[in-house]
Amino acid sequence: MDGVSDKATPFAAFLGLLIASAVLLSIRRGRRGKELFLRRIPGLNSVDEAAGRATEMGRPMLYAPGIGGLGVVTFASLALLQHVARIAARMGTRILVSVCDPAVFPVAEEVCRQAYEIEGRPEAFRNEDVRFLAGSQFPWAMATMGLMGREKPASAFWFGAFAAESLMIAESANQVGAIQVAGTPNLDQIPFFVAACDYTVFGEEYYAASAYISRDPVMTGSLVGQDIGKLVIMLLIIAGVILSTVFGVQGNPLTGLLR
Amino acid sequence: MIPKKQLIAGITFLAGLYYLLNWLLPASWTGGKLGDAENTVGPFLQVVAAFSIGLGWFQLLAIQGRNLTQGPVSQRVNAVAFHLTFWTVLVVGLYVNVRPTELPNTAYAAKLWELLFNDVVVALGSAVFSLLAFFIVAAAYRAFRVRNLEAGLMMAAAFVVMLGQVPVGGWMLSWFPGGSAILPKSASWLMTVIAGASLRAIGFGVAVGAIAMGLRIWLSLERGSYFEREA
Repeated sequence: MDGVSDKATPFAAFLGLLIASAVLLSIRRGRRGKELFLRRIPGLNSVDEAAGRATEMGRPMLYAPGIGGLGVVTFASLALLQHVARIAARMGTRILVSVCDPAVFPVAEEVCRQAYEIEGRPEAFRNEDVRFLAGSQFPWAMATMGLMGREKPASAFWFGAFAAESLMIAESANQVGAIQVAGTPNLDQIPFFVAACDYTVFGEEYYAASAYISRDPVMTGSLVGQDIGKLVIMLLIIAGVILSTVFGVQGNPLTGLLR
Repeated sequence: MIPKKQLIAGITFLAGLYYLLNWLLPASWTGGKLGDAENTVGPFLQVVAAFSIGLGWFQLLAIQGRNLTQGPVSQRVNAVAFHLTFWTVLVVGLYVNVRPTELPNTAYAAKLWELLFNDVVVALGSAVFSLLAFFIVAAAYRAFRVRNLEAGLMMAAAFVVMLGQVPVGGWMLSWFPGGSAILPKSASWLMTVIAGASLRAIGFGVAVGAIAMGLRIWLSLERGSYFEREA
């Protein structure tokens, strides 16, 4: 990439290690049983509601882990997939998983299989419900839209990396009357999901999903660490604004550190 | 025998440590050897992904094969279309791109490949993308209904941004001195200051969230760990 180094500058390394330390220390506090405050995230509270609606209506749920490959974004989505699949197994509701990336497909299938086994219903898992529909963006979007038209899911979960197809799939789900919960770290797609979905999770909340839902002390600790990391960045922004106002942008000592 | 979970956790930790050290340590400290090793480490993922593509194909063929023999008429039609296109593209693609030297490369095969890919696949992709315009209209209609104060503010901002991007926006207020620049300048201010700052703030949150998530995966603290039963 032009102008962007793949090596850390001393300040970037310091900041990265500082945030990582905050996360790890908070995890340690959580492990020790310290009571940690967790702010409410409405979008994630709605996951159980959407899953319950599908059960009430006797229609399937649809889950898509995005069009990205196996990376941090997709792993965060797969953690949530396990939660949704467990609800599906517990309530006897069918869950359809629409996969775009071939590398994600076997992992998604295994995640769902495990979820059914954990709930003690391995025989209810149908591996044909986890589907690799197409390997590229628009064919996958069309196949997912077709799947929604045929199966009429009562709830749809869009969690992962999405691009221009986000609005197409969300609007199609809206047309079949599905309640929708979406989450993505892709900044460009957030407005589309906000416009078309019932609940949207974005920013750092997307990565908080599995931790927030599990309420596991270790995971909760990492969420608190995330918030401390954000606080560090906010303080740096305020310091940057003050220093730039006093010394000018070129004379700002923080600007020198960034190089 | 090493338990499966510990093995996965160990490999994950070592792989993560490699990339972390590669990012943190200056090339002068390692003589550039860490960076060079990326060319060897990186392709491992590609090899695993190649196997996964095979799994995806296998499942697609199995489902569409079953639809063809046992499904209702509508699914049979889809299955016929799938098999027709799948096998045609596969056979022609293999013939043109990995043809054994003794087989003739007829101009017809190359032309057919070009027709299938450039004139069908690419054209269909563009056609699907163009559908986005209609979906945007439908979504915008719902999103911009003024139901509360927030929706009203969003509607007003959208109105200013849209008019500020087109010549008619300048023309509408040109009846008083300097008026033609008001809407374009307001639109620019909304996009660069209000929307720009909000997106940067979300971007910071995403980056911090990715660090926390990355740490949880690297240290195998993530619950469920994908192949392990939850506690």
